Amino acid sequence: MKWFYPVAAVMSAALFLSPMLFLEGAPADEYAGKSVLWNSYGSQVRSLDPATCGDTTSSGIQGNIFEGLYTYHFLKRPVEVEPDLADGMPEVSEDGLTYTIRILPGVKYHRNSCFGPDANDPARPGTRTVRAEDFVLAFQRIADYHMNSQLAWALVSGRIRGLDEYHKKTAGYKSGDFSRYDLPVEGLEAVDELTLRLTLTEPFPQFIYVLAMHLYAPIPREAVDYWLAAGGTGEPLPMAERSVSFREARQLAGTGAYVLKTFERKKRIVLERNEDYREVLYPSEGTEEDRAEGLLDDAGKRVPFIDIVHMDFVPEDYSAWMRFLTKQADLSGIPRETFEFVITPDKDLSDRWRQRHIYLKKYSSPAVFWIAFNMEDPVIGGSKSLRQAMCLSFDVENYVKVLYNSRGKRAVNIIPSTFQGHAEAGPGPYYRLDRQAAKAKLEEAKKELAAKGLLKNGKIPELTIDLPDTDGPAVRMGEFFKQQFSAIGLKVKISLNDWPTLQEKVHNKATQIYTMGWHADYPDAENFLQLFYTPNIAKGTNNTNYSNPRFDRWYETIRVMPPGPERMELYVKMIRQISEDVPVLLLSEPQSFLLAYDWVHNVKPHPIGYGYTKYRRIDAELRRKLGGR
Amino acid sequence: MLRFIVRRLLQAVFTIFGVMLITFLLFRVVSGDVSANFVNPKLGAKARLDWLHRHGYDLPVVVNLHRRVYFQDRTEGGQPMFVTDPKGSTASGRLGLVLAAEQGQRPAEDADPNAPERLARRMTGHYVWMWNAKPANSARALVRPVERGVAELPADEPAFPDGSLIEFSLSDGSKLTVDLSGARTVGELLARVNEHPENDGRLEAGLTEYRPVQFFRSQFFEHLHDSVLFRGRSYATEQKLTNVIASRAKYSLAISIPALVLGWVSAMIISSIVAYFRDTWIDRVGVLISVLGMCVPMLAYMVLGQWLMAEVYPEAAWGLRYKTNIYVPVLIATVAGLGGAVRFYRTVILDEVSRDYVRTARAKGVGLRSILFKHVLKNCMLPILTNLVTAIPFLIMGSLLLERFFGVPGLGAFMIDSIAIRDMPMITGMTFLSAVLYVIALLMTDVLYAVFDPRIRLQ
Repeated sequence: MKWFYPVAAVMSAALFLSPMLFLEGAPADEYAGKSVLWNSYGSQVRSLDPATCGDTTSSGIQGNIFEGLYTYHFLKRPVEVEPDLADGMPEVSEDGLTYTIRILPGVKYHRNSCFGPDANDPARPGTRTVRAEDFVLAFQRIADYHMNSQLAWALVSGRIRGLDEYHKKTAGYKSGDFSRYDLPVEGLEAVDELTLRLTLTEPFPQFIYVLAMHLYAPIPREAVDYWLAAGGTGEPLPMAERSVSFREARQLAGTGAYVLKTFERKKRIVLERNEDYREVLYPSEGTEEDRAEGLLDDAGKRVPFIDIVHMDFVPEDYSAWMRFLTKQADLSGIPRETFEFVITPDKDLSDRWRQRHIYLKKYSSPAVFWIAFNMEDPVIGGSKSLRQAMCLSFDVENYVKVLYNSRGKRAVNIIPSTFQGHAEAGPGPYYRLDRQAAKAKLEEAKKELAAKGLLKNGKIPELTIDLPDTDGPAVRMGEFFKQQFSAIGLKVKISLNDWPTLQEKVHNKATQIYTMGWHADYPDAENFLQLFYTPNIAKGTNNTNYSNPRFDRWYETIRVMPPGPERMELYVKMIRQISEDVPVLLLSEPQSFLLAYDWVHNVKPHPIGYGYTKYRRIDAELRRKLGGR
Repeated sequence: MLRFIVRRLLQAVFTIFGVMLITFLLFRVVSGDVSANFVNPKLGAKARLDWLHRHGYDLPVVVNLHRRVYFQDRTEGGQPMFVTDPKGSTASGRLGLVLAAEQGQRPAEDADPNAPERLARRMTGHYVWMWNAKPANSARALVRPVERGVAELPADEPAFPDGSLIEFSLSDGSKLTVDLSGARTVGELLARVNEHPENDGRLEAGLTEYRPVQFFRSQFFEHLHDSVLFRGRSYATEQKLTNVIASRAKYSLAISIPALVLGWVSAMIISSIVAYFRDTWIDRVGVLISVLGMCVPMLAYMVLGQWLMAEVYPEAAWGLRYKTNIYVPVLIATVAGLGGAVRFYRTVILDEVSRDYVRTARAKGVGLRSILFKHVLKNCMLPILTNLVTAIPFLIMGSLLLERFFGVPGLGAFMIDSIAIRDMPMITGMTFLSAVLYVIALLMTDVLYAVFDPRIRLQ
């Protein structure tokens, strides 16, 4: 076996060096001479097809590639809708049912092989301008049964005439049979090349907000026929192998400031400037604060400023934070563990960090988190005083401080503080800490429950709280809840579940108390009030099973009312009704913190809209000087 | 030898079948309803049932001895067929009606040859236990729901409460509204449709015939089928399992193979030295450091390693921007595993060295080097090699922590993410892959033993 050792040595060396053969690094001069933004994302991006997109990470990226009819102004607060691909605000008919929208002429799609070669330069792929029928196709794809669209379908289902019937009809077609996109839909009409007419089933005053989502971006029919039906070659694919949604970067054709150059799921996403982007100027209006912070310095200039947006998939918080600290990434959130070292108790950036050329941007998302009560449970649903007592006994400020590093503010009524109606309705009478009052309410609760025969040995029975996670933070949360309620003498049991199991329990109405929340789809209080409307119990969005006929009547009235003082009056009544009946124990509105290096300009996180990377600018000189890439 | 291998292969098949049975029970039956992660709750209950049907969760669990209620459109029009539930009825959901023309992969049973190929002409309902189809049986059999945990209908509650209307829109554009309120049995349901005064033969309701070939169309056999052929498609991203493995396996291997090799070589060298200087201070210190090394958790090595790299050369602390960045996790994996390996190899070597034949050889005057290389190491190689071979299945799965921390897009990280979001096809596919690799590895260790050790020639 003389040869054993030399052979073993050679083989070991070969195996050790083998990765060099099949791995690829990035070329050294990859982005030479270009302005690059280095960023990272932590959760998986499943799809960038507008029809399937629904989660925040995907939307954030997609908003730069696709544009819808309308969008939100970058700087103005409170948020304001402005036209994006539409030519002016929509013309709404008297009865509020018909929206006639003119489309900007001459908006080109990203260059894509599906349009054939360019007429002037056969070596490059061609393009064409956006037409009204492309918007019709977008809505049809979202309503397509086989698309399995999430948020985009939820918002228009039942709203546009003929769309639900279309949804059912598409179920009868094989998923690979795209002739179903030729079926007409009554409420979607391309009147001519640049005019779109949408007809609703009933007035929907919040429709403009729905149109301000880039999920309804126009889709060219050529993309469906070339990429999905034929796979990018000339030959049609067999039916069974056709995908319904766009999966690869080269298949997407949007109109936005950036083109999706690379989409390797769980590795990296690279956006490249759209050479043919139409003329869009940096806004010249904003808040006073914006002016002071220099956010209006680039007013009137043509966007986008940055050439390449390179995003790496970094699943671990710690690694992402390290990358930010070593100037490998330009922006970052703040991981839990380091929060108190970075942010002062006044929620500002501590000086040490300011000296490292980092600045802070705080923003509140229009979301509210709460502890939900199952109104159909005999104990919890049967005693209003019990729920009120629980609300009065819970120290929300402490909760936010201990469990969320104070990254939130206490919610005092059901709608977020940035929405109209919050200030008008005022804080709910039971959404404050008052343990004396809580104990008094608890006595009343005992009487109420005794009358229904629900007391156990003269005491209120043990309550169960279901939590949606089984890891460390959830255990801590459970302990905190137990502690809070035992302070007034309530016995509480914590049940840890994982998310799907909790969903199932909620769906089957098998929970008593559980944590929930709602993130606004659009900036209107109706989006939160609909969570308490009785028919939505069957639909699944009303999972507290709250049912109040008076509230339902009010809801049905405001549902079709345009904004105005009468509607505001009803909003206030409804919000106060919820504050009185307390089907939920309000917790907090989340506040988010974003850190950026000084060389990244024009960063202003938007609470609802997406697609503002085009306004950002990088000072490459400064970055190199301070030791960055 | 050949007979031995063949026998072991047959055993392997049974082992794998057992693994799949257990994983099936665990994943399908214990994990609960996974649709919550893939269907937006804002879309309501119907969307959830549609998703469950699309992914085969309404098939019978073990074997298919079931029939289904069907509604066949006998009109000759050009439009697709669909149903609606007028006025808040929940009848079609209770029946679990779905159109039989989805996805184009599983053709409808008894497809009507006269219908245009692409449009569905038949809707079928829940699977009903074959021998419950007789009219006398309870309503429960008819509306057996797909989801677990829903309270079973009490025996005397009608399957269809008051107001259960279904409106069928047929292919010629006409409609038929059927009132199913109070229907309690399959027979009644069929009669209500077939004997409806306005029907005129446009819509036919019946029970599908049971054909023996459908015995294997159950969740368990579909699970077997998909696993063996690696046919899964991700619920979250619709990627094919084979594509995922092909694109990600090389990264896992890029960490695990060099780590294995480097670990083995360095452990051999260190343990040989330590064993040579047995009972001196070198030995004691060596053992102490190895044990310490084993006690430090992997996470600590990784965080420390990453922090060190960030101080020294930040570009290599994360990601694969430069090819050579891969050696950072390789080094960390090696160092972390060194403690245990050195301890183990040292034991094996010392075991050999204390054998009689070594003493004899020393007494005879054979040189130390000769003893070491010609005799001792050869005999040590066997336990060491078998130890290595059992590590092979884990090569491809990769170390998920390392991959996550260093941004290496390998299979380990993918596996843990799939588990977190309950992406069933990916989880079962990779579990199956691991099981197969492990069985092969075990077979190889047995063969290695038989080849290297003449004493073990198994019959």
